[in-house]
Amino acid sequence: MASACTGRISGGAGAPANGPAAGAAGVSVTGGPATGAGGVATTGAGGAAGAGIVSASLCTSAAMAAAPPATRIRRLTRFELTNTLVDLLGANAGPLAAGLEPDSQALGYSTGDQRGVSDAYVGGLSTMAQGLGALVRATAVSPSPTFATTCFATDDAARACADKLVRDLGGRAFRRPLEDREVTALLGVYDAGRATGTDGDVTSRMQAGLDYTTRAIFQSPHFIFRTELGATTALASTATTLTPYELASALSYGTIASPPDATLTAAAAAGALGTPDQIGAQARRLIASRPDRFKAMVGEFTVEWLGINFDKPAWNKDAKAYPKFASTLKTTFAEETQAFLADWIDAGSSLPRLLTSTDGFVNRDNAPIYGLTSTSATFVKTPLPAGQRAGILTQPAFLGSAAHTDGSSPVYRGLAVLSQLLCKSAPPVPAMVPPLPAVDKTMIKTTRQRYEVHETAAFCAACHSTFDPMGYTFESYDGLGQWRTMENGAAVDPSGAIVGTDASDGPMANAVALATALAASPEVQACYARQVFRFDVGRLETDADGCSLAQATTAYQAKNLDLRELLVALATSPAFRARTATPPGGP
Amino acid sequence: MPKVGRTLGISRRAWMKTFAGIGVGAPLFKGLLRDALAQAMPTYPRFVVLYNPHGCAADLWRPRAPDGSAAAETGWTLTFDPDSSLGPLEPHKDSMVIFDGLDLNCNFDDGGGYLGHNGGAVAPLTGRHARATENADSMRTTGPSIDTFLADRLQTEPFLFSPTDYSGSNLAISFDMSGERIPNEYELPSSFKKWFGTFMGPAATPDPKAALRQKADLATLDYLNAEAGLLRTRLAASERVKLDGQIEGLNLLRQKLTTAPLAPLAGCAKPTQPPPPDYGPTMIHLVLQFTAQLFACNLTRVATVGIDPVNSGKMPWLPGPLATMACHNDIAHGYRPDDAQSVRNLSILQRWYATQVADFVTMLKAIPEGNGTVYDNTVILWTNELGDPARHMNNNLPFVLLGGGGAWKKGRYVKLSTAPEYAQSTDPHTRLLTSLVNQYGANVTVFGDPRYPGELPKFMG
Repeated sequence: MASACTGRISGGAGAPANGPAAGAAGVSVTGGPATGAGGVATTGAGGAAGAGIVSASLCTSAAMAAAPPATRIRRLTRFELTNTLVDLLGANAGPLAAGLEPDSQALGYSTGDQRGVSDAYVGGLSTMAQGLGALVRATAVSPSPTFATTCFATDDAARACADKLVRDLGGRAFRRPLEDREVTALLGVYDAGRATGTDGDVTSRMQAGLDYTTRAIFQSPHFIFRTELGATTALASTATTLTPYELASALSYGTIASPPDATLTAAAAAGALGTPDQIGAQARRLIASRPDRFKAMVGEFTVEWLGINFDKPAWNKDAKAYPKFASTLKTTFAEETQAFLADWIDAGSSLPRLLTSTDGFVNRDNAPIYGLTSTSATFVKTPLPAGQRAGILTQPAFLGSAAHTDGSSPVYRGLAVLSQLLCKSAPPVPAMVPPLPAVDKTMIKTTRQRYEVHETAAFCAACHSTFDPMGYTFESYDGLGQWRTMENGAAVDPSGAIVGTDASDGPMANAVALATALAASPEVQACYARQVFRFDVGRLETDADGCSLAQATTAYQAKNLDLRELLVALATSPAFRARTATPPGGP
Repeated sequence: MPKVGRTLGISRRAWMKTFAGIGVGAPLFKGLLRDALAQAMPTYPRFVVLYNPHGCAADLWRPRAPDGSAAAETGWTLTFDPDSSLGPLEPHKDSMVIFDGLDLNCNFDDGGGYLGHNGGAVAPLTGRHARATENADSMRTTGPSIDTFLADRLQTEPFLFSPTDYSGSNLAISFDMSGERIPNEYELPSSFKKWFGTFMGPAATPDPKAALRQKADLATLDYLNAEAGLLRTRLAASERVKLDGQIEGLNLLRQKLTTAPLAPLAGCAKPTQPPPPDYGPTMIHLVLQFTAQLFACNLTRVATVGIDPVNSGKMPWLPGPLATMACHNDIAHGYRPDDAQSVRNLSILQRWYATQVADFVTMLKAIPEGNGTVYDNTVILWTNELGDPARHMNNNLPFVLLGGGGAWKKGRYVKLSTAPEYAQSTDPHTRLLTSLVNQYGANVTVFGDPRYPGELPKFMG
C-alpha cells in the first residue's frame, strides 16, 4: 500500500508540514533572546558554545505570558498498562495486556494524548479484564495471604473483605483514594457477580463476586486514564495545577512508565510533592529504585524516536540479497540495541555517547553482521572499528528499519536525521510526479547512483536535497546494517552533508563524521530535548512550553547532556504540572 | 474540525441510543427486540471490502469486446489476453460491475494540490482526505470508512484484517466515526482466538447460569457507563471525545449481550486453529477462508480484508522474471504506459490479486443460505490505492463490485472519463460510496467529502 511510496518511517511525525501556523508546535522560535527572557543563557560545562542561546530563545516574553496548556486526561499506553498490571497483580498479569491494540503513533509517540478509547479497544479491555478477574478469583481461597479465613465464613463476611479489596486494589488502580460513592458502586457489581457462583457456597460466591469487581476496576476510565484536571474546585479558564496524586502519577509514569509506589503515594498524601526540590528528589529516587523499568522506558522511547520497528515490511529481508539474514536476527538486533542502551544508561546516558560510542554488543548471532566471530550466546561488549561505527545510528536495528527488504534507503535514513535529530519537517510530497525518465540500468551499479539519477532532476531535488545528503552518508551500510565499501562492483560513496540547519551545516565524509557532528550540535541537543518532551508529556510542544523546554535543555546541557537530568528537569518544570482549567463542555 | 459528520443522515450516537434504550436491563424482551429490529430494518446484504495496492495497468485491466475492441456496457470478456488483470473472474462476470475511471478527487484541494501523501490509503473507503495540515503523511481523517459505517448500520462488529498492516504501521484503511484509524487484525491465530475462541458452535449445550452471568455483565457495563459519564462532565469537549469512544464501545458490548446472536448457517463449523503468518502464496487463501467461515457461522456481516501478503516485497511464486522483482520498486514503479512489458508485468501482479478474489467468490458460492448461497446475499467492493502507480496517481482507480447482494444491475462495465491527467479527473469516487450507503438505507447527500456530493449516475444501471 501507500507506505511503499512515502519514504517515511513510522514514529516520527515531526512538525506540521506546512510550516508554522498560529501556536504551531515543534517549530523553533527564532528571533534571538527576548528582553526579560527567563531562560539562562549559559554555556555550561558539557554544552557547546552557544548552546544556551538556542535554549533561551524559547523562553520569550510571549512564552512566559502564554496560558498553560489545558487540563486533559491521558490514556495509559500498553507499555505503561502492562507495567501497572505487574506491579498491582504480579507477573502473571502483565501478559494479559498483550491483546490490547498497539498505541497509535499518529502524532509522533505512543504516549500521545490524542489517544482515546475506540470500540475495538473496549473489546480488548474486556478480554483483558476477564483475565485479571480470573487471577483475583484464584487468590480467593482459604488459606490465602490476601484474605483472612474469616472472609470465607459467611456471605456478609466475604462482602466485608471485598470492601477492603475494593479500597486497596481500587486505590492503587485509580492511583488515589476511592470515594465512598465509588466503593458502593463497585460493591454493587460484586453483588451481581456473586450470584453467578454456586448457590450456598460462600467461597464460590466470593470468588465470582471478586472476579466481576476486578473486571470493573480494570475497565474503569479511572484506571485506563490518568487525569490532569487539578482540583475540582478550580474555576474554569483559570490557572491550576495537578493534584498531588495526579502529579505522583505524572512523575512515576514520566520517569519509569510505572504506577506510583507506596513511598510516592505517601508523599502525595502528606502534601510533600509541592516544590521543585521535592519533585526532583522523588524523580531521582524513582529512576534509581527501578533501573530495569527506567531502561525499558528509555528503550521504548528510543525505538519510537528512531523508527526502529521489526514489524515493518522492510524486515522481510530478501534472502537473495542477504543470505545471512534469518528472521531470528530481528530479535537479536532488538536485544542488541537494548543491551547497548542499558549499558549507555549505566555509563551516564549522555547524548554524545548515544550517537558516537564505538561499543558494540556482539554475540554469535550478530557477529557475522559485523564481520566478527563469536561463540557466545549472550552479548559481549566489544569495541567496534572506530572508522566504521558510531553509536545507535550505525546499528542494524536502525539501519535495517530505515531500509528496504533488499537494499539500503538514503531517503529513509536521511528523513530520520532530518525529522528526529534536527526536528525539521520534509516539504510535502508534490501533487503529481511528472512522467518518469527511462533509466539505463547498465550505468547504475550502486544504490546511490540509482537515487541520484531520479533525484537530481530539479523537480525532485527541491525536496530530496533537504535530506538525501544526510542519507547518503549511511551508504556504507547495506539494508541489513552490514559495512560495505563496494556495491555491485562499484565503490560506495558515503560522502554527504548536513544541510538546512542554523549552525551545523557542513560536508560529512561518512556516517561516523555525521554522527559526531550531530552529537556536538546545539540544535540536535535541543531537538533531542524536544523529542523527549514529546514522549514524556505526551504532546507536541507549544509556545507556553518555551520556558520549561529552555530550562530543561539548559539543565541537561550543563550536566553532560545526561538524559536523566533532562527527565528530572522536565519533571520539575511547569510543563509537568501547570494547566489551565477548561470549562466543562467548552472547546 | 469541519462538521462534515452532519451530512450523515442519522448520527451514530442517536442510532446507538435508540438501540441501547431498548436493550438495557431487559433480557426478558430479547424476543421482542429481535422482532422490533426485524420490522425496523430489512435484512441488508453483507458488505465486504477487498483491497490491494500497486494500482492498475489500465490497458490490460479493463474488459474488451469479444473481438478485442473496446468494451460496451455488456457483452464483454475478461479473458482477451493470458495476462489480463481480471481474467480469473470470467466465470463470475455476470455478478460484476466494473467501474473504469473513478477518481479520488477528495484527496486534492481545489487548486489540484495533494491533501496527504497517504491519501491512497485514507481516501478510498472514507471519501475524505487526511488531516494533512497536521502531518503531510497523516493517517487521520475526519469521518468513518464505509465498512465502519455499514457495520454500524448492520449492527455487527466488522472483521478488519490485513496481513501486512502491522502494529504501529502508517498504513490504514478503516476509520472510526471520528476519523481515527482502526488498527486491524493481522495475525490469523489471534483472530481465531478472538472470533472463535468462545464460539460454541451450533450443537452446544445451554448454560444454566447464563442469565445471571448476563445480569452481572450488564451490571459491570452499568458501572462503567456511569463512571465514564461522570468523568466526562468534568472535561472540555475536545477531551470528552476520548471517553465518547469508550461509552459507544460499552454500548456495543451491551448490544451484543442483549441481542440473540444470529443463527449459524448450515455450513458453519468451528475452524481448526490457523497457522502463523507465512507471507506466502497460500496466505490470502487462508485469510479469505477464515472470513468465509465467519460468514457461515454468522459471527459478522462486514469484513475488510487486505489481499496482499507482501506489500513492497517480492512474490517468488509469480511467473518468470516477476519472481525476483520487488512489487513496489520494480513492478509498480517500473510501469510505463508505453512500455509493453512493464504494462504486462503490472497486469500479471494484479491478476494474482484477481485470483484471490475469484477464490473468495468460489468459497462464498459454496455456502448455502436460504434458497441460494452466501454470495447471493453479499456485496463485495474491491478497491486499490492508486491508478498509475509509478506516478502515484490518485485518478482512474480500479473499483469493482461483486456479489449477488444489492439492487443494482449486475454484469456491467461502466466506463467513465479515463483521461490520464488529474486535471481532467471528473468522476469523484465519493459518488460510488454515496450510492452504496444509500442502498443500505443511509439516505445521505454525500458519504465523505462534501465538495463532491451526489450519487453516481450510472450506479443502478
